[in-house]
Amino acid sequence: MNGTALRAEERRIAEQFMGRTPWIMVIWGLGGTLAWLALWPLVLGGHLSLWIAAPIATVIVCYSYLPAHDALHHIIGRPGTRLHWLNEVVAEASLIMIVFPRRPARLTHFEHHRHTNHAERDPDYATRAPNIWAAIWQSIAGRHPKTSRKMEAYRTLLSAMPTKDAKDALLDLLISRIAFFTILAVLAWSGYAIEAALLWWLPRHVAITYIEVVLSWAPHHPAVETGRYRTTRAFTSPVGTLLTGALQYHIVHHLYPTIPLHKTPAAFRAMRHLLEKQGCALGGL
Amino acid sequence: MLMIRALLAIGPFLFGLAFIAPVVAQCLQRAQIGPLIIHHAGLAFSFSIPTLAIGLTVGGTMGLAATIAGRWL
Repeated sequence: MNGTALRAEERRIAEQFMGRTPWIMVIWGLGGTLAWLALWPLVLGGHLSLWIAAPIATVIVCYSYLPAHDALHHIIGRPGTRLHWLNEVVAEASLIMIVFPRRPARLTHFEHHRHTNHAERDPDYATRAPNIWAAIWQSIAGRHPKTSRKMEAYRTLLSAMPTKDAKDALLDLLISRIAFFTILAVLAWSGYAIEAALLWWLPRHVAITYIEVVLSWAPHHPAVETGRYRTTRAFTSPVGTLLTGALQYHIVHHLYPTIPLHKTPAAFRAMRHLLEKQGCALGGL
Repeated sequence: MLMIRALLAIGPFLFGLAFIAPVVAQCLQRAQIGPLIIHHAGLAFSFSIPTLAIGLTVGGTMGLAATIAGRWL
């Protein structure tokens, strides 16, 4: 089988996993956001201990990006279709918790897909690190006021885009950031500082570290190649698919971004033999 | 826009006062940390500093240091 035939066969397999509305992502995205919102009156009203709510909030916020990511790719509803509004609601609602609005998230993420592992053009290139410990430390240190590498990369990228969408996205970023800190300050000075810290501020920081390390660093490591089959790798996970968010199969997503997240493991298994022939790094998976 | 940029430039200091300070103060209140008592030369000196003053000192100092150094840690 030559390269073109391999690609055609790969496409034929991939299409079997596309097209249907992934309702699980809608339930996950909206359910997670509603559950997180419900924690606030429960804790502030004294119905639920903060020490129980805080770890729940952390788990919800960590996993909030995954359904949003599917929605960023219009997997729930493509533009012009009946469910497009729902797609946008899932994206916007799920991203509230990590304070990253839909428009800048989508624009920067699409640039990541177009230019994966490119030092200047990939906005996620800042997560590149020699090992997992360096990736964790880099993620934390990357949030210092003057060394906010990833956010700076997003801002630089959006500023350089000459479109109105990019300007709107930049404004969304600014407004969301100011709104987040204003809400934290109002809650804190109203006597709910510890609640605000443990239900939002800290879970968001844990989630950003999780997203940057597990969802960004791990599947692209070592992030040195730029070909279609070499930008992403498969890997065996010592902590299971649930903790990695199935990102060990991320190679499938980069090849076919409209396959829903929960179908990427099955799609990977179905096309594994073809990926092997294309020289993909499958890491024993 | 100029005002927003000025606010962002001192963002960490504002964060220290607006968020870290009440977090520290409310942690001290929950921990029921009482007045500071120092024993010296057979005498006991009691310093009852309001928790908010401690919070503002800690938050303000951390925020100022982060604004100047550009790093929290």
